Amino acid sequence: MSQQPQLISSVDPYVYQTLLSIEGRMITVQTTNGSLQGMLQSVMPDHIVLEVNETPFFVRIQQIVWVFPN
Amino acid sequence: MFKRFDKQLIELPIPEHGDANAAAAVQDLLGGRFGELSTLNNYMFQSFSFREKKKLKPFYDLVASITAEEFGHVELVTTSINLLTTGSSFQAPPDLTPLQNAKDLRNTAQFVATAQTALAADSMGNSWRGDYVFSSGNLVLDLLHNFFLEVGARTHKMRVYEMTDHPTAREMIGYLLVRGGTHVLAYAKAIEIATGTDLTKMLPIPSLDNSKFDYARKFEEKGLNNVLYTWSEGDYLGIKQIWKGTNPENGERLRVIEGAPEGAPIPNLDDLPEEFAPGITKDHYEQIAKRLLRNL
Repeated sequence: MSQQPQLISSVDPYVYQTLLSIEGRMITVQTTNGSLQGMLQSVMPDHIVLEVNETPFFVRIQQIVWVFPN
Repeated sequence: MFKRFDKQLIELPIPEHGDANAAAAVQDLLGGRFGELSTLNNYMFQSFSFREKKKLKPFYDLVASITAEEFGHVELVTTSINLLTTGSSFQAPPDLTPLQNAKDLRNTAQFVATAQTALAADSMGNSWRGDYVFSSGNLVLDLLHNFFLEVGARTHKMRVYEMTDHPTAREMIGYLLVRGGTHVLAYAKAIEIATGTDLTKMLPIPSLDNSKFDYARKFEEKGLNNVLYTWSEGDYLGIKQIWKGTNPENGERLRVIEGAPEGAPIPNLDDLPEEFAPGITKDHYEQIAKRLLRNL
């Protein structure tokens, strides 16, 4: 067994790719803790940045249930 | 009679994202047995039905003036509930089920009976009730009841403060802890004058210390715990005969301010098309505007 600590990261590759295709659009996101509606500012492999009323919300992709573009 | 101002007592933080379950908990501070609807209606009915108010003017003035302040407390708690529901649903046509998250929130009635605003009910949905009003007509008994009501209301506020760290809820509770503590002291002083009994020596009443509550601090630093307002121009000045001396909590002088505090703007609530509220389309609004301007 290696004594080296290992970084494990879960990525939803197809979700990430699909989200990239709607960057810059108004979207509705259902998270495990309610919904958000705003502009999809940027998409990273593990989180998105959603602008709601000029406030950026950083949302973990792992916590997203569904998304629809408005 | 009352004169109304389009202001609320203090500014509340407008949340980018609320917490509807916190709003449900805060309902107890509005429509619970010890909520602001109870303090308002108790003092309102007691002042309307006061016997020998000329002879006992300072006591009448106290109950009557605090009634006006309680109106403002009802408004502040209601507004905080209305703000705490922010972001609980999304805008979409009905077939996309835009209120789907409300189904799993604690207070579904806030989404069905109102457009995500306050109900005249407690945190479990029980309606506020008229039998929460105690108005015996016996001065000492009513004052003792009011003292008990304020101490109970304070306990409930401390508990809801511990349930939510949402800044909108805490700003409101921090302020009301300070003002509620002031009212506890006001009724204790009234009882002392009416009976000669020093309540602080009679029984170990729950502490009025607010130092453990961060959001209460700035209101105490402004000295709001030492002030009673008359809420009137010229009337109810008799409270000066009760609200005098020093505050036993901090040793500072008690002050009566004639009139009302300056107040702060009341936040605007955005439309919620998924709640059909206010339900006025652009075309409809244009027609309304025409009718409003007609024959001016």
